[in-house]
Amino acid sequence: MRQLLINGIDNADADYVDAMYEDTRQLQISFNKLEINGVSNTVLKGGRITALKNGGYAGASFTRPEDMGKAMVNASRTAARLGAFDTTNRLLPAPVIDDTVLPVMKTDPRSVGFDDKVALAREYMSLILSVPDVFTSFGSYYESVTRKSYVNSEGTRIDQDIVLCFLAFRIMSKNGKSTESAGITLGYDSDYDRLLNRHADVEKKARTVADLLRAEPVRPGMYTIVADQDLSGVFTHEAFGHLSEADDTINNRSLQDMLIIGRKMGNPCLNIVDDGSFPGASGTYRYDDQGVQATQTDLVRNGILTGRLHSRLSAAQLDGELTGNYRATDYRFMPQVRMSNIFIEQGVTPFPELLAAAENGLYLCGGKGGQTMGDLFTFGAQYGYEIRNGSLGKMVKDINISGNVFDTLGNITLIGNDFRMNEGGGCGKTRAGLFDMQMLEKSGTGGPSIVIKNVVIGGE
Amino acid sequence: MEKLLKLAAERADQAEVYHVRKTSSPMNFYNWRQADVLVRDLDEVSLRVIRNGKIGTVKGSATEDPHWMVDAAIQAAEFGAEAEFRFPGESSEGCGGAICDPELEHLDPAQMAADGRAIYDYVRSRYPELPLNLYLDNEITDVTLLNTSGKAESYRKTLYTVCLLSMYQRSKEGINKEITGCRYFRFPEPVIDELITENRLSENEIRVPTRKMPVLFRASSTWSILYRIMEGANGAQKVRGVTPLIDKLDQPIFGPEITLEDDPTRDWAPGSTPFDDEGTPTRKKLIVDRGVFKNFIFDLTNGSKDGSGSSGNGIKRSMWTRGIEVSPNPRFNNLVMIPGDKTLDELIRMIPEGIIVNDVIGFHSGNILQGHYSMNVGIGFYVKNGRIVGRAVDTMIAGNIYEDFHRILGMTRDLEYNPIAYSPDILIDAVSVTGTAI
Repeated sequence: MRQLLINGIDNADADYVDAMYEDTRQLQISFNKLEINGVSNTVLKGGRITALKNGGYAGASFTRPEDMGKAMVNASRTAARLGAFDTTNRLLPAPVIDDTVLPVMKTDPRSVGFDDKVALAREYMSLILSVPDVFTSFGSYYESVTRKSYVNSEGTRIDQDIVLCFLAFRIMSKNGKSTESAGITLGYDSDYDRLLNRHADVEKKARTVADLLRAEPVRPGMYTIVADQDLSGVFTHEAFGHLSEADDTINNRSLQDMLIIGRKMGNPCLNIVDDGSFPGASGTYRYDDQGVQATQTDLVRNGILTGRLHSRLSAAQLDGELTGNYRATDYRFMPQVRMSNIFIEQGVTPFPELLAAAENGLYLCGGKGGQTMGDLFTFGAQYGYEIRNGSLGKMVKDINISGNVFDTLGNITLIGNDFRMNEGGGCGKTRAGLFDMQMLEKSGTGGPSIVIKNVVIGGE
Repeated sequence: MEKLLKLAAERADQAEVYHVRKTSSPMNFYNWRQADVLVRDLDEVSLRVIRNGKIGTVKGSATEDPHWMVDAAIQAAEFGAEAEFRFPGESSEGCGGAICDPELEHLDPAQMAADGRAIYDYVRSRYPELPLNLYLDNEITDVTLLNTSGKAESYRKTLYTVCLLSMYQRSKEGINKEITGCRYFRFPEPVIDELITENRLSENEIRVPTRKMPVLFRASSTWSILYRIMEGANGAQKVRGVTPLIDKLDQPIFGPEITLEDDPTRDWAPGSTPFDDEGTPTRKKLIVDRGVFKNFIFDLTNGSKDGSGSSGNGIKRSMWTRGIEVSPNPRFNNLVMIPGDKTLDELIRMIPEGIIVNDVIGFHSGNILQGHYSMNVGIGFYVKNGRIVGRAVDTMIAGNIYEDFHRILGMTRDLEYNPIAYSPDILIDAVSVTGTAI
């Protein structure tokens, strides 16, 4: 494929051009309780060309390899046309790469038999269904293998084999008319071993879903909260992370002014990084969709805004650096600047001291979706506990957190020493309303538990 | 595609080929300073086979080797779910509405760019400092469905979308105006005027008190609450036994003002089709009739499990994805809420103190199946004595559609399409609003 791409871009009528072709094979085994209720094989093959001409930037995607030439002409011509009124696009110089990337894993999921995968999923499923009040559960085993080739007119040539496997369960409990549900994801990495011996985690989650039936809705109000690692990760991603994606900042002067490098974002204990090179995390990759190597990017260091996430385009426009964050869901989309793995770095405070600091607040666990709109964010917590004089009290549910990102970051007062990356991930981003949403699989979060003061909690 | 069906039919009891070819050229303009265009050309096919009563599916690009696809589908069927249905053979003649506009079939991208420029010029002459992004897309979809019950039908759909995405000062986002439909249109100037007016009104930021008050959901935000009933009336949730509507057929669930139908026959509506993605001819049906729950929607799988059969709602697409999803799910073609008799101004004048909601963030919060919602007001306005005072900031709304839809104060007489439904603006009394006014 590499040679085909190289030949394809050889005589492009553009100042810069790149070509990507990917071949993704997915296997999904779905379970309804213990029954397999579907097995599907999917092949997704296609490519994308992007071109820069006279400062205009455009892309073209195609399904049939023989249509690559047509896509090349489309991309170059459209770029030239855009260049007629918009000459501002240029690329920050990047190293020329020649590399072949193979996945790192102890056990290759492709080497595990179909029956073994089914048996493992059923083992966890039986465990889930054995928990009192859990009345049903849906699960799936998912595996994808992507071969991706990338070349550009500067001489970069990259072949990547990307393997992803995970088990996911949605657990539902019921008591009379009321139902509760929550999900758990195991793995989300190339290594099948990560799915093994996870019985304790699965059982704990199932018990939590059952306990939720008896939990009381949280009383809306202002609280000091302790966010667990899951929630601190979702918070960092939703509330802060999206603002650091520089492609949205380029054309918005007032946003640039608001996010000026050097601005104080929080207390000196606060450090936030995006790290696509973090070993074995959900959002880890080697090269982005412009062939730029993923790296650790300091976004907030000692409470001060120090960086943004970039594509080569946005880095050139905003005097940024290469961060390797320009990624598309697949060939059917244009890449956008996306987070890789974003998290608050490990702190020093032991968990009991976090609870003590929260006095009569809430301990909130598990992220449940989330969304940002500028400096406003909102997301749910799966469940939580009241804190009474520094000890955990009764369970609460229907928890919705919202606020202003700057106020909230400034209100982070303590950072735990219990750092952990989350399993699973995924993120939707659109720059064009709801009509062109890109759901990206590989986007990871994590972090330590943190204390945040003055958080507005909404409920029913 | 005929060859693929023939190969599959030789080895399976039943087979279905679903082929989608999609071309489009989504254009993004970022405040005129930057633009990108992606010329898309997608060609995908999915194959389903039923063998020994079990179903297997496979999806690939149209160029995939048919032998490989049949092998993969047969293998999947070995472990597949039980399928107690026949792929439908009935003709879809006369079903659906007008969905293909010859003008869009031949629309020059230069025309789209010119239309975009005209919008910019219009905005610039009235509110030059407004940061504005534009998104335009002209998508042409050709669908062909073949199955062993003798169905061999196709249709072409055109879909034209224009979004105006303005940005507040010091913010990444702001007020959006989006229109989509199967027919070419010029973006209406009154809607641009509204965008400008709302931006000016937003300059006055209001901290809203915490109490129950009337909330006016603009059509652009109603999808977030209607999503609850769409999930509740989804036949898959009935089969799973998790929807609260499971024993509510022919019983009142909402106030008498509420009538909802699924209407795939509506001309130029984005979800209209002669047949669904499983080949079942589509038909118009009532979901809620003057408050009384009338129908679940089904695909073949869930319809056969339930015993009521498919309602023509087997869709191989999820909310946000492009291309074919492997397994169909019950989804609404066009959910249409029957409108009221008021104008927007009349509704606003009915509000002593309340909130207008243009856009929410966090629609997925709360127990969706149970009808709960608890959302942040992304774009909203504070109304006092029947007049918009300014932008409502840091405001949350919470409620339950199964309670709130008994307290409708009024609805506008016009319908607007938001990403998943046709709806009027809806004014609901006594919704729980949480603000930050002291």
